[in-house]
Amino acid sequence: MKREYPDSGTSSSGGAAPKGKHPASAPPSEEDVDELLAALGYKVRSSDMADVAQKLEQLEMAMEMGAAASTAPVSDDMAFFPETVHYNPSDLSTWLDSMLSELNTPPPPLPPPPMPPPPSVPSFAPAESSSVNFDPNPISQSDPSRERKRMRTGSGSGSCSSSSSSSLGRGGAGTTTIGSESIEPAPVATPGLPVVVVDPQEAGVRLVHALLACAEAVQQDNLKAADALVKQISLLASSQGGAMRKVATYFSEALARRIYRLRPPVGPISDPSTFDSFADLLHMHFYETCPYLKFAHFTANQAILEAFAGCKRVHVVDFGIKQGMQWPALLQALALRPGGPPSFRLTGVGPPQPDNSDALQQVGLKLAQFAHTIRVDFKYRGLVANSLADIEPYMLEDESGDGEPEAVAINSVCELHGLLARPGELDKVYHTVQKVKPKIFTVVEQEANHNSGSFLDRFTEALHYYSTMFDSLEGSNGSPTEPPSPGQPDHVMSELYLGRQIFNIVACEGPDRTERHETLAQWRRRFSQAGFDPVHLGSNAYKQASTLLALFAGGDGYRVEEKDGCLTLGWHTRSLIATSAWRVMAA
Amino acid sequence: MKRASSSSSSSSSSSSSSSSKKLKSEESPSPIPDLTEDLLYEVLRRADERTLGAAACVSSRWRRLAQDERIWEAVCLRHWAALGCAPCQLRSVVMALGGFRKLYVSYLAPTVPTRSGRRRRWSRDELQMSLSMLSVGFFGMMGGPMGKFPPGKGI
Repeated sequence: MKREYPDSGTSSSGGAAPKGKHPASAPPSEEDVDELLAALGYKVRSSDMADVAQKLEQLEMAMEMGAAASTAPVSDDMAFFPETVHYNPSDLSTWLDSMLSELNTPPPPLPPPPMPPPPSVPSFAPAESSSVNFDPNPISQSDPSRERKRMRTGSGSGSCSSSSSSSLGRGGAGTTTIGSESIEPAPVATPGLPVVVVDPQEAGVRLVHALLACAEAVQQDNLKAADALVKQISLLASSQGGAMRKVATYFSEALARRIYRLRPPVGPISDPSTFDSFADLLHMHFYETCPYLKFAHFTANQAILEAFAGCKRVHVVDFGIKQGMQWPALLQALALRPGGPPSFRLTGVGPPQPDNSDALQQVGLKLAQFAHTIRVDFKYRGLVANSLADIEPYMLEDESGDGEPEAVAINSVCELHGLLARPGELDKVYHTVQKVKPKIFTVVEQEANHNSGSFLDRFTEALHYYSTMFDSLEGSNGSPTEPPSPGQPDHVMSELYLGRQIFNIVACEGPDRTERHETLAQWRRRFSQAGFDPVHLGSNAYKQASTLLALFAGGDGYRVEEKDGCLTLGWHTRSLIATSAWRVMAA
Repeated sequence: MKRASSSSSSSSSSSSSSSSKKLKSEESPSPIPDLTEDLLYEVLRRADERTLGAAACVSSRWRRLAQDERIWEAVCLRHWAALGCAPCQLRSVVMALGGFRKLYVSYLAPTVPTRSGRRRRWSRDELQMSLSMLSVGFFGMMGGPMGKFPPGKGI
């Protein structure tokens, strides 16, 4: 999709034309001007954003129609053009109005939101859905009688000859004729504007800006503007490709839900913590297609392995066992321990199943079978809990009471942030952990702040975070170095896995909003305050992580970093997931 | 299985290969040199990975021998940095999880940067990682609640 834009960067008129030429339409005052567009050279009031977006669409529609219907004879219309006046395009609203009035745009296909006329600019008329009627702009010299032929003569060729030449990019040969034959416009305040065909990069910038503008509108409860912007976003998103389009689609979908209060009840789409078979499937796909979860598991396992050195009886508590994918590798490492494996006990915590199936037991059985294969003494207990705060220390106790005490490790992969949705739950969990006195408490969390009080801040953070995530999914599409597996792995599933998190962060509030990610620094503070000391992860864990990435097909963009004893995995310069380890502070 | 001494096996293999060409042209009932299993095993035991792969394509008998786990254990251990555990411990775990050939083919071979045949010792971390991957792969293929979930391309 190409659009015409005056290139305000190079055109001498951009921003430099004296504002006195437009007495009736005061240029937007400096305070209200939207900052991002101002950086590009356009001055648009933030409050007019939706209106401007609307008009831009109309303009494009008009130009497209003009380009399509290019068979009309040209010559008689040229006489009408010399009187046209160019307007300073940096005042985008006014410029759009003048363009549209000349083109006599048909009713726009999208019902425009009823916009109250901006109080300080009386020349604007509200756009009606039945017909576009602009009050005759006192400055505009467009003759209403010209309007009937305007559509067929092509896009805005009267306003500037170069703008018609831009439509060459889209139109057929007809518009070429028009462009070459157009009469030189009369000397005007601003010279002819060179036109830049919008490239996808610029569209991408506009897309991001539209997303942020929509989020801001939502925060300000300006739902009409938000609604218009959401439609604009989906249009812009279709011009993008790949990761950007997918991210924009998920975010705009989530915004739409928030706007229309379409918060579905706790279910598979909005609540990522639902432990149903669909969520399992998505989780598995995400595990397979990108290294984040494997990184989490292997680094946590290394820390646990080192903490268990020399212990004959070990107990691992997994705060979110899901499919138990983390434990086979640890069992194998323990089996190969010099001196032989310890006797191993696993407590797997999981939410209750909607269909009453005993998924926890099934996972336990599978792990037991695995352990039997490699001859590790294995015991399993499943704990069903709606929330981690429901776990009491006695549930984790060692009931057999043999001579040798158990060494306990507690493991939490992306389970703690959900506790922040309800006050007091995290503290309860800390308290329980302190009672159990584990040798090590391994914690993996997303490295992002998606829990700030301001919706706009959350939205912005999440947009950057998930854009990077989707980029990494896109980037790891490289050719596999290992023997081919049946078909390409299904990225769609992984994207949906991430999409559910996006929906939750953007569309939910209160206790429903469970994806309350916080940064490593924030978690560090919480842990210190709760009475935990950090355990440095060590070079073995770092080397394991580096090896994982080296083995991982398409691993070029991934980066492992060490930060004060914690390990993070990210895509290029952005860290996305962090592993840390803790122990109870010595009394 | 009795093991012939290495010098006699290599000389017998070289003479066998030249005689095999004659045998082919003479239309004998068995075009492949009639090495006993022991000798063939000895030869293959010293071969590198690519040769083993090629040898497995010759005939079903050769394939059976070329895919012998002991040979592949030797391949893996040839470039193995010390893991710290006893060999029998390693053997029992790896055999249970799919074997050395699978370990090599699926998880160690991808780390070799080129196919130049240049020998390179795997570091301890690479070995541990490949063993972890083997475990995860085995676990994924076990019948269970999710059924058979095929390992993805990215390990």
